[in-house]
Amino acid sequence: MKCRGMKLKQLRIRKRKLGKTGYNFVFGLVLTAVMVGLIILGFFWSPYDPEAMQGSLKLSGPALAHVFGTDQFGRDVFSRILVGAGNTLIVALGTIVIGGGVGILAGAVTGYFGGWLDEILMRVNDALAAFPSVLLALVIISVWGTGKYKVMLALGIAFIPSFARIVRGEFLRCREEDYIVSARLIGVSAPRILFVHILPNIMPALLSALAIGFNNAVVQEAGMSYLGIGVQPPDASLGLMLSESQTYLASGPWCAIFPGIFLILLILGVNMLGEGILDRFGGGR
Amino acid sequence: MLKVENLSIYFEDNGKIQEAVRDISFQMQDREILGIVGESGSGKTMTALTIAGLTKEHEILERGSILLDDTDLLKLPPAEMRKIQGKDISMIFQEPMTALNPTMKIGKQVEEALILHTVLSKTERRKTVIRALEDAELDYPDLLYGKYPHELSGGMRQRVMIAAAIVCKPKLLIADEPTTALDVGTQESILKLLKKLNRKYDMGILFISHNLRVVNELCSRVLVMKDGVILEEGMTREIFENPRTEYTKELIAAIPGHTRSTAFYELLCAEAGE
Amino acid sequence: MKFVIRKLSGLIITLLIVSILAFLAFEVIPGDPARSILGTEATESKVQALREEMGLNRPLPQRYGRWVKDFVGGDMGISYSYQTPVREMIGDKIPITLTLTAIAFLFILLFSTPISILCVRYENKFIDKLFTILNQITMSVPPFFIGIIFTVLFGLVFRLFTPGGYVSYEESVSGFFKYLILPGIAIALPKAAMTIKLFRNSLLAEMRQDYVRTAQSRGNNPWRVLVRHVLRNGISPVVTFLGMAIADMIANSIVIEQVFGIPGLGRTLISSISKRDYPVVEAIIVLIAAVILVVNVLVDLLYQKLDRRIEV
Repeated sequence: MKCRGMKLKQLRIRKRKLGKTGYNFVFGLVLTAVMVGLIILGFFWSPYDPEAMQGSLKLSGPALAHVFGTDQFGRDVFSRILVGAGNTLIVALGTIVIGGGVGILAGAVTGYFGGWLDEILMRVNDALAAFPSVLLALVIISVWGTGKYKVMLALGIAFIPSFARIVRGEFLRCREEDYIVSARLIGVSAPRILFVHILPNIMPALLSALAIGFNNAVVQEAGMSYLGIGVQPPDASLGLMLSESQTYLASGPWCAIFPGIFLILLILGVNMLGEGILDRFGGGR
Repeated sequence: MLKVENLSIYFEDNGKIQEAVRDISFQMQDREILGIVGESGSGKTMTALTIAGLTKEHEILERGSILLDDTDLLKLPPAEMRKIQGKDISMIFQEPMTALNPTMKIGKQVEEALILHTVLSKTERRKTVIRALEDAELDYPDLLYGKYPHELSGGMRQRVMIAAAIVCKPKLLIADEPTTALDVGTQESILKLLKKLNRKYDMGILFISHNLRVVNELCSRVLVMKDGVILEEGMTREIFENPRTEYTKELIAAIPGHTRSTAFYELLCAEAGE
Repeated sequence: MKFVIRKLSGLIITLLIVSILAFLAFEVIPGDPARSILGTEATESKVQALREEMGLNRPLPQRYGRWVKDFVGGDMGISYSYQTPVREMIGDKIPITLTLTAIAFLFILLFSTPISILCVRYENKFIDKLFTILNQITMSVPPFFIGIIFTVLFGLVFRLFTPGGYVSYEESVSGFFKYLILPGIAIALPKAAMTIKLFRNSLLAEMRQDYVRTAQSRGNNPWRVLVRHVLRNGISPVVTFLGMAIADMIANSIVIEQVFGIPGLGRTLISSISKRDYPVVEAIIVLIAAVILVVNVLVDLLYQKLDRRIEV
């Protein structure tokens, strides 16, 4: 039972914590840098050729020679992870470049100018947003075919609505801010206002959205490769590795576990980075 | 009824311990209307909150004692204090707009203290609530029962808050600037209501305000606080006629429209004396 | 009432747009459906005959109108690959996928509400910090990987269930539901983590409101304050989020079905995509979109009911 009127000494002086503010950002940055660094390394070098099959070493566990073991064809898991993650990275980056690029433009224009264009585009946007982006991507793939770059295109297009919506919201909000209104009154040209004045101010929210988008893209790509409609064999992809390894789970769990952990760490890193950016640099909310 | 002895209140600010109230003592009799007057930062609100038991455990440290009819409130464990809150001591606050739960019906909010402190049946509770709403001078309490706060005007919301606070007939009602957010006309009616309830419910009122004029109208006794200490204490009329400290004099002088002419003084005191 | 009408009309408009987009994507762009059905070997005259029969030479708006009419009436076309009505193909699979999603949704609600309350009550104490970290990690795991882990953990290690041992509704109702629990949890966990985080933050913000102090002044203990007062006020962002999450969850169901071998819409969808069997893909996509849109409207209505301040 706690009573009031405690002794002076018992009053806990809580130091103002950095809270998760500092630690989210830093941790996220470090983790992301490590993962991305590994992946980039993978572009130039990997311990073994990811496609090289060494029949004699099928399904061997983690050992000095093969740090993460080998899969059912004798391929080095670690090397495949590096290359697979590389594909995942390309697809995810491509996705946010396409989705983000078009989305930001669309969102900026409709958010700032409004009018009937805004109304129409928003209706269409809502319709598109009703689809989970995966489905939208599936639709596109079903019409255009599978494969790494098609996935990137499909996901990119599928992500446009969410980016557009977020950016539009931000631009809408900023449009009424005092400094923007005064800029308009002075006669600053619209493109200038959009890019020189508003854009820098919504950076934190934007970067955070990009981080989330990146993560979603990673997950979706993994999912689609898992289902077999993404990256095609013999190319590697984390999702593909997961599906290939499913039948051998009993005999070779490392084939699934390590790619999975890699995936998780990458997503976690970007997640924390995205949140850390919002914490550190505010979102204007 | 209420005896505050050597009360000191400390809080933590940025790693340092600050003093909100330093060694104050005062008393309140049953059915008395006591006012505490001061600017922001004088410690009046802290004192009120501490008496009401609404300060956060780990952020506030108190020393001294607050005796409610022989029970030291500061020594009570939280569970015991909660038995007193709403039943023997209630509080009303400044902003009626935000002090009521926006998604809960009026009836349920007023009823809450009854649920917590009595064993009345549902019908009996409803009757008591309606009676409380009537005593708070609200029309059509039956209709009000099912409405939400945002459907009422500011003055009505304040009355609802008062009704919720008096529903268990507390010994002491602590009022923290209840009229500050209201327009002058509504202010007057709320003050009259409080005076009426003080008589009808035999309820003491601890009235916190920075507005001397309002205090003058309602309170029989008044404390003047500044920077955590009590500067002056006495009957309201006394304080007004013979302010002892410079500060009190300044406070009186700051009342808008007030002049030091005796005639005006008398007018004010006549108003207060009713 | 006006609010309801507004939402419903918005729903209809969006559904219309969805249907137009789907129609364009599947009936117009991919090329000649008649040829797809008959195959590349078929003669030109046969193709033309089929085109006439299917009404493909009529003007676009007319084709669209007929397509909508058929669809609403239940006729979703004929599968290119199997020559059977799409409706037969997917009819019995729809409830499976929907049940899976519903189980996941239920789990999210049941799981995240008490935990959020717990975290707020003991803010910044050990349990709150623990859940914060757990949340962060769980949010980052793709559901289908959780599914794989479950398969390993509960299937192989603990032998609590047989991976791939799907029990159909007709065989055993309880078996059906029991089998869907693990996949449902797999879908739900990352979203539950996000919900907890959101809910906790919302509740904490509400705790700083004035009415909390008023409630305390009446003698409510901290749990009552949380559950009876704060909960209702803090739930709105969660409701919005869950509305958006439904879409994601349906998508995740599709992948999870593969992991656990559940014969829902997922498998059919995937194989149809590989085979370019457009009518099937089209029907599934439109149905899913419709479900999502309806759920969103329901969410909006629920939102308005919870927070009476929303002006009608």
